[in-house]
Amino acid sequence: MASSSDSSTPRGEAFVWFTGLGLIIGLGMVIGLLSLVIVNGITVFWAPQVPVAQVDDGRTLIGQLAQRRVRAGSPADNPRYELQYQVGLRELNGNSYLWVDEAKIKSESFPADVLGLERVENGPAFVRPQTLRKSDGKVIAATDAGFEDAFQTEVAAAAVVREKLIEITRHRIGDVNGEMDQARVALRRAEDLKLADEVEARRRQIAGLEERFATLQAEAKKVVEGGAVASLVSKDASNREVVVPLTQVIRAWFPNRLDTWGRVKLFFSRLGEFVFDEPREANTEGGLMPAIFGTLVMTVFMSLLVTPFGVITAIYLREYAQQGAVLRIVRISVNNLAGVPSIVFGVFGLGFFVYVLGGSIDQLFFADQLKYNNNTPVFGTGGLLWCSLTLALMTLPVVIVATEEALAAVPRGMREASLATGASKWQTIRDILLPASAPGILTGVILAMARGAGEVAPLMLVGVVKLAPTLPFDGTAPFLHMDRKFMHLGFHVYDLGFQSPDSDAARPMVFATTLLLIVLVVCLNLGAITIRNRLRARFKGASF
Amino acid sequence: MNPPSTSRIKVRPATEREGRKDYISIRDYGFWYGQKKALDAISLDIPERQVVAFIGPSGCGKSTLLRNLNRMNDLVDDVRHEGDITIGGRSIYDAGLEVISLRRRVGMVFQKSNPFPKSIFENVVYALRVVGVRDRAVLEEACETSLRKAALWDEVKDRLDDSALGLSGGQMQRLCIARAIANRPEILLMDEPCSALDPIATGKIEELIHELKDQFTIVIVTHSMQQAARVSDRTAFFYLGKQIEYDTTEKIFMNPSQAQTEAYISGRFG
Amino acid sequence: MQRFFHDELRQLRDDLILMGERSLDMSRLVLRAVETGDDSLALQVRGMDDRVDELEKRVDREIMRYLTLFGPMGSDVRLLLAARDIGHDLERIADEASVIAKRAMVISERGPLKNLLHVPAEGIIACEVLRLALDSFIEGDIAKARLVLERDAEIDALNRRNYEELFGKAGDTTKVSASHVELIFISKALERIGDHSKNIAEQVIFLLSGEDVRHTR
Repeated sequence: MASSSDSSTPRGEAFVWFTGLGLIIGLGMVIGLLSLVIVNGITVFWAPQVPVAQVDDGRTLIGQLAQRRVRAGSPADNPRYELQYQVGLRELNGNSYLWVDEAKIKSESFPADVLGLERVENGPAFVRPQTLRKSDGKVIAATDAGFEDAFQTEVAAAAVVREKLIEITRHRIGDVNGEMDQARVALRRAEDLKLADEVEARRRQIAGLEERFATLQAEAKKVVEGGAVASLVSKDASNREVVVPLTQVIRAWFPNRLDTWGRVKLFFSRLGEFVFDEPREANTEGGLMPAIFGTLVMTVFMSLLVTPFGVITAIYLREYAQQGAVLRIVRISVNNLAGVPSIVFGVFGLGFFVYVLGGSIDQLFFADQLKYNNNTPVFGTGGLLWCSLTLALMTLPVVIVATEEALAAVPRGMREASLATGASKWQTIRDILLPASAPGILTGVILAMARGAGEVAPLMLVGVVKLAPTLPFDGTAPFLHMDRKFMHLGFHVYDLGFQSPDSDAARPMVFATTLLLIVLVVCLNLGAITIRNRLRARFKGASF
Repeated sequence: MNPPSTSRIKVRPATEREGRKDYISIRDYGFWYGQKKALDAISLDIPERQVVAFIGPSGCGKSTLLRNLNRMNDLVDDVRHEGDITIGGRSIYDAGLEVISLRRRVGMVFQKSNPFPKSIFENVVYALRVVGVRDRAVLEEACETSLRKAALWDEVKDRLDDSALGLSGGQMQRLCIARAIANRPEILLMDEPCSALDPIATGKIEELIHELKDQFTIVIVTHSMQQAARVSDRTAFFYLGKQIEYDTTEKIFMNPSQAQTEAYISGRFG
Repeated sequence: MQRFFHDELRQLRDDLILMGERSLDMSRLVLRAVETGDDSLALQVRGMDDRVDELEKRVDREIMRYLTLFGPMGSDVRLLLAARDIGHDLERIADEASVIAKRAMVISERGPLKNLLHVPAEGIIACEVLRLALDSFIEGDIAKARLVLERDAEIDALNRRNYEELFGKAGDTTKVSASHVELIFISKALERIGDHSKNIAEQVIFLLSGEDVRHTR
């Protein structure tokens, strides 16, 4: 009677192992990806020791080790390596990075006087300082006892001067320029319409603005020449003299003198700069604040746009529409919309939103601008509004489907109870169904946000730029400028990786930016998930 | 534990309570789900302030008839009816009558208790909010009155803002009853209200029906003949969509006229 | 948990007790009618019989209704069954009292009897025993019920003595008057009242203990 399969273990146990294996593979891929990005991204900010290397052919290198790879053409069983050093001083060396055959390096030392500089222009520099000329005129040699302290003090002072200059030139002069543009447009309009009084008033206004401009320029000049600017005289690896005015120095550190705690502090300082500062050097250096800001603002807008549209559409489809062939076609179309490639949405956004809608808005509301300002479009070109709309359109199917599912999952009894009390259909939807399906709707919004925050292709067509002069959200009225172009993290990654002139310099930033993008999306999702959990707790009986 | 007590409210006997004899009047009423005829030529009068029970085996149409009294079957696709149902002399299918206003005069309690995922207070006053009452004092008073009538006040008066979903099954059903009577409808429809409850909870709800019948006209569908015998003044027996017999409860259960009725109540059916 | 329909059970008990009191009143009244020869009392008793009959029908309806509609269990079932029998016995007691009244009127027509044999004593005991039976029901006192079963023998004994005294040991009927024959009927009726009281007591014992003590004596 006992057969070979007469055991008491349940059948299919092997599949438990298979599913576990699948999970491990998936998890492994995610962890692998994250680790790769983290490791490559984080190393951007860490400051290791900087060697002075003597090469075979007599050259001396001072630089931070960047990469190590197998030399092309070296035999497989006895590979030869080459090292990439970041030597900086692009204006002298032609290139910030240098590859050297590992075998050719005769010796390496780590002298304590090596100084690393991050500069406003021309990238980083690794030099051996000789003398410091302070702002009060005194000169200190690098070998003097108080050199390091004096140096850092001067760097800080120079930073203050630099900030002031930026404030004057960028912000105040920038404001004046903006007003002047507007006044010029008004003047041309007045001239065109032959309004003599207006013309007179505008000319006077422009004169006043030009006066302000001149004043500010003088102020700037004063700041520049005002205090004597401190400068550092150093020698580079080839013993050439390098003079660096300290206003050019963003950060300075002695890589071979730092203890671990010092390195950690430097790490966080760089990290902070990365997240909060503005970019420099064609986006290869500096921070990503505008891109972070742009991504955040756009994602938030997209969510704010897609949620009401999606929810209302879903309510109509599920609650009000007549069952029948037409409804089925509509639903199929909505589902198919989710499969359309995102670049197609970009093209649609460009053609319809930008040209048709934007053009019409410009014709209707900004005709003066067009006429008197060289046809510079306001809304007729890419911008924050059109990007948000395009992505909202793209993620609409996700929200619609999620909302429909959530509405369908509300138990029929609840609907009946509400209607039996004499509530109208709309009251039932508003007071019972929507609150009960809120967690499910939020799930849809979370998915939409995740998808939208990561899309780059459509954005390139409708409003994202490499470098935006202003933020879309600033102090001037109307505070939120939906017509402005903005920067986006995803685009930033693409731009750095493929469009930058110095691809070696850009490499570390690509990883760091990717990491930042991942962190941003995770934070957005966590925020939404927290809200959803709170909603779930309130509606204990809901089936989500 | 509540000490045993006689019914607190003095409920008048059936004949004293009875108001208009044809308060709810069903005349030659037929009803179809698509092609299937669910009700066939139903004619009966439900007097005011009486409890009428609809009994019969599964699929006999009793729930269908009940749900048509407040036109809940309008929600189902592809239905039609013939004949008429009038309440207080006015047809419920009258073109000038908004279904919503009908449903505000006719409260309903369902088989599976379905409180909203809101607080107890919000559940009870939902009907009042629906008609536009905003005054907090009015809402609170109505809430207390309804909960007292539903014999739930003492158990929940300290936690009105707690979620309604935290109550026990019997309490939830009493909450649904409170919700149904909050807006003082004239008629209360109950579709197998105790079928998901244990005997103690069932007993409490039957006590409640006994007290409510002094003020409300109640129509109750039940698959328990014993329950129909205990609580109702009149009973209608249905089978396969047809009305077999409708009379006082005593007559139906002690000496029914129809042989089918006799067979059903003595359990010899099928 | 008290249910609303339990009130109807209470109502049933009250109606039964009312019947009992009426039957007892009738028995006492009719005894006085026999002793005093007062026809008006006899007529009153005959009128009261109608009301007891009505009560019996009402009690029976209530029992039927409760059994059908409220699905009683346990002691409630015994109460309903016992109530049915007690009601019948009380109605029979009232009937017997009515019969005694008729006989009393026949006697008084012929003129008052001097020798009432042991009928008055029998009557007193019969009323006492009925009272005892009623109290055992009202108070739920099983001891009183058992006492009723014992004392019924006294009534039987007195009834036999009435017979013996009237007809003598040899059953000689020559010196017996028509009125005395009526008196024997009255004695028999009283004996039957005692039997009905005994039945009531047996039902009370069944109600209180579930024990069926009929036909054991």
